[in-house]
Amino acid sequence: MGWFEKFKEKFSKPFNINLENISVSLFRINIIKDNNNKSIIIHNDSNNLSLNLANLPSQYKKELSEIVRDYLDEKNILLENNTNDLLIKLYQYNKECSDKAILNFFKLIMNLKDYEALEASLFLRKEFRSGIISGKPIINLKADIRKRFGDRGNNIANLCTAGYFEQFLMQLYNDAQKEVYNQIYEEIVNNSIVAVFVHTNMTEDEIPEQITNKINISKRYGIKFIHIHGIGKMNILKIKKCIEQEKKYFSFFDKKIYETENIIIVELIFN
Amino acid sequence: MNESIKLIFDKSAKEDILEFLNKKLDDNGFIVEKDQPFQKVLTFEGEEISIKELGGIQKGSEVFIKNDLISLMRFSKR
Repeated sequence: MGWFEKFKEKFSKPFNINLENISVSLFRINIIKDNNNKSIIIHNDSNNLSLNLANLPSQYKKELSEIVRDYLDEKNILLENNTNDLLIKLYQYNKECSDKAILNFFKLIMNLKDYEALEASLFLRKEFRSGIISGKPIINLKADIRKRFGDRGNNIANLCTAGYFEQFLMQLYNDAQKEVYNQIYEEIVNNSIVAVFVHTNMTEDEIPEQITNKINISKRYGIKFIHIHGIGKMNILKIKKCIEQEKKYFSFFDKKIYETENIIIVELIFN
Repeated sequence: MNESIKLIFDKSAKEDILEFLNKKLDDNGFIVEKDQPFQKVLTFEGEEISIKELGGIQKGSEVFIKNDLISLMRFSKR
């Protein structure tokens, strides 16, 4: 008897759940623990059922433990619900392969850690742009990249989001000598010299300071631009305030500003 | 069996799920064998795993899956 047949046998009648002829494309049984809820919760969309361990009688907990073991024995993967959602998205991403060209290009020239950081960043970028994941989950997932690969991984994530890999680094690799490319690449991913990514914890004073530092390094490699990136209303405001207050400083650059409701990119070109 | 019927768990139920599988936590929150508490369980990459990191379990000597993006990215390619 399969795990679901066992589940139906043990739980349908006692809890008055109709599990026959399930015709939806996906039916989930979610195991939860909530003292403030009843033992079985049938959700309105009929695609979901929650089993609440906090109020499930002990004999049914025992039955459920066997069902969980059977579920695993049948080669299923038992996942936490957020992990399940993320893994589904990753399978979909792997299947669609929309970033195949970028990944194939850099796979040949990057070390494995950088490549993994890039791949994860491209996935995040795709999800962010499609609006499927936003807000806190993006911050947490990006934190996973930083946790695994440090500041370098974090830089790769920022540079990837801003399109530097396909819009700048690919071209650079094709145009420059390998040694020059490697030196610039290392400066970019270690110190993100071509961009200042303004974040929540960065003060307005730090922005021109970072720009100056990065320009000094960029000039050594013949790079004559720098970008200031901000995502979110607070960061956009911070950048605009900085440009307004430091007019004299910014007057030395040719300046272009690209702005949408939620993103600002300031391009500074210098000699 | 209908492959689209899934069993999943909420993070609130993590410890109970571990108990179903004869696992428990050590003093530092790492998942260990109930009968051999000095034996930590391992992920599919051979790493120890804490309850906070627990994303899932797969049979095959009970491989544990971490819930961070990089681990899941690697897992999704297996």
